[in-house]
Amino acid sequence: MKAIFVTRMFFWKKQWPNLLFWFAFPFVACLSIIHLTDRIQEDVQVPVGFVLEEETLKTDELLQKLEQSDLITPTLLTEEEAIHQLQIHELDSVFIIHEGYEEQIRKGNRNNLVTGIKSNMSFAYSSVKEMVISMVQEETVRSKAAYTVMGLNEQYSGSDSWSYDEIIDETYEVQQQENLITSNLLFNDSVEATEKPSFIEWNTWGLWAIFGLLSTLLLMDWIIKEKNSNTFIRFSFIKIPWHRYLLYTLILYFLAFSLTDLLAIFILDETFSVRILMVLLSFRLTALIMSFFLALLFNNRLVYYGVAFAITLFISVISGVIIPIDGLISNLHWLEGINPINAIQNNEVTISWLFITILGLLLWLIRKEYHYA
Amino acid sequence: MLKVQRIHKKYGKTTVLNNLSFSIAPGEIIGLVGENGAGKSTLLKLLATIEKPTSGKLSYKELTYDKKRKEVRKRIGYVPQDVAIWDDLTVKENMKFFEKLSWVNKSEDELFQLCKDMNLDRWKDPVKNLSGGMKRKLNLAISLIHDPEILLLDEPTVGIDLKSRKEIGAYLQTLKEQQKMIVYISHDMDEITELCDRVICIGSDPFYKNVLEESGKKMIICK
Ligand SMILES: Nc1ncnc2c1ncn2[C@@H]1O[C@H](COP(=O)(O)OP(=O)(O)OP(=O)(O)O)[C@@H](O)[C@H]1O
Ligand SMILES: [Mg+2]
Repeated sequence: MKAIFVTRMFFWKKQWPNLLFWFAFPFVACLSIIHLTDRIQEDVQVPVGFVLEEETLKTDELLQKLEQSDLITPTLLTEEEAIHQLQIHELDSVFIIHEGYEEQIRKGNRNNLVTGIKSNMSFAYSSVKEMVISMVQEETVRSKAAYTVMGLNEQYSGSDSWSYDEIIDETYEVQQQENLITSNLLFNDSVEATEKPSFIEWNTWGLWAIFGLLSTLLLMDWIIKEKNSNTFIRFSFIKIPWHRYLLYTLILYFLAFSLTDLLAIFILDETFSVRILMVLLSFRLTALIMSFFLALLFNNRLVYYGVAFAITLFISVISGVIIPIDGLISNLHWLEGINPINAIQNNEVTISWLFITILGLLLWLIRKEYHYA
Repeated sequence: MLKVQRIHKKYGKTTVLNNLSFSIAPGEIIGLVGENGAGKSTLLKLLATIEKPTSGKLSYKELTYDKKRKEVRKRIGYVPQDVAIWDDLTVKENMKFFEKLSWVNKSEDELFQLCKDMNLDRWKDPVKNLSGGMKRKLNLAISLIHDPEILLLDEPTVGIDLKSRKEIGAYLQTLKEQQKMIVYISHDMDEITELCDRVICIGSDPFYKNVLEESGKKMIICK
């Protein structure tokens, strides 16, 4: 292994600008995408339609609050008009405040207050929904708290023994209880509430996986270069046969890439845990072995680069990391199953793909060893 | 003793080598001649273990090729017809690369000396900046790193200038004195007649046979 390291350094010494570029590329790409969208998000306001089935004090209050938000521009419309505009994608999504809103709020009832409608191109729907939920929730909690205080006052026959702090404590407690009720109650839609605090919340490790996959694929071109150099014939006459040379070099690349993964945890996540390291390393190893086999298939480097880009694009599309196409792929669950970056996207250790690739590598090795012996 | 017994080699349906038998003793230089496509490189690859005969047997001392292939390989220095070196690395790095991964340890001085024996002194130059002849010299030097007992050279001196050729020839003579076995492919009949003890002539063209007969060299086989 030491010999392999020494000999690999001969190459790395020559290729360092290339190596540095592709090792740094995922960092630069992830950080710039995240920062750029943060900047854009500060400026962009998403058009959202609101339909009021009743106009009362409470609905006015809600609308005022929505107008104050810097995330959206709310527009008041009739239901028909709103749906039409949603269809032609003038609006990102539409929320209907139902008849009896004020009354239900006063009763502390949270069923069927609001209906959310989204189109296949709504990208801010879940974020706006979260926002509306929290605003409505605040209303119901507040009124519930008021009732509770009133009830308590009655219980203690209106004496002034309740301090302000005690009432606040009580409202907090109520609020906590209320929060336990899921927001689904509030909504008439079938889409489950997702936890998205802003419109475009990048899946950091998803991004890292996509760009990492690309740099892994492209850096594995050494296999094609060295395979084509005619030099491999010499490996029959030295201590380390060709296939073991490839394997050991692969391990060296894995070690080098592991360092970038380790660095990524500190730069992109800032909190180190062994779990997240395992998540990244398991994915890295999977990507490396896949690239290894892919590179072995090709003799032409340019064709290989083309295929590498195509694969990266395909995986980024089916995983929805870069192009949010929830609507398109949520129906295709098998795609999730075959998507190699699915695990890392969900902050999980890549197990099935890693198992398959390692098994493949073992079979390859056994076959080569058998031929060599 | 390297023994070749009744070997046949076919690629698909075309027979390249037909019923060849000969043996090589230590300290012997064998020339291998024949027209293009006669099967010289094929025979050398069989001797080098990197191709297997369709039928027939090869053995080196007590080691048979099909059973002890790895053991035989350790003793072979093979110079491929197409230059097999790392273009991106320097001469020094190429030498060190194959020394590190070889069966033996050699100092940098020894490797440098080996290149000098081949008349190659561009130690620190990247290989891609070398001339064709210099690359051939390096191609030859790398194959000698592990002090092989059997040297199989496939047109090692193509494009090498006459002076260097003479020096390489002299170097091969010293290897011969160290009881190495050498098989040498060349189209240069002067070189062959000067250097080789015996010559294997393969192929159907009688031209080489006639030239060799005139020179009085000892021939082994003609197909
Ligand atoms: N891998 C292969 N598959 C099929 N045919 C082959 C293969 N290798 C060589 N041949 C054929 O075997 C014959 C002998 O080839 P070989 O390379 O041994 O010739 P050679 O004597 O070395 O010629 P040259 O002087 O041009 O180097 C040729 O007809 C060639 O086309
Ligand atoms: Mg040849």
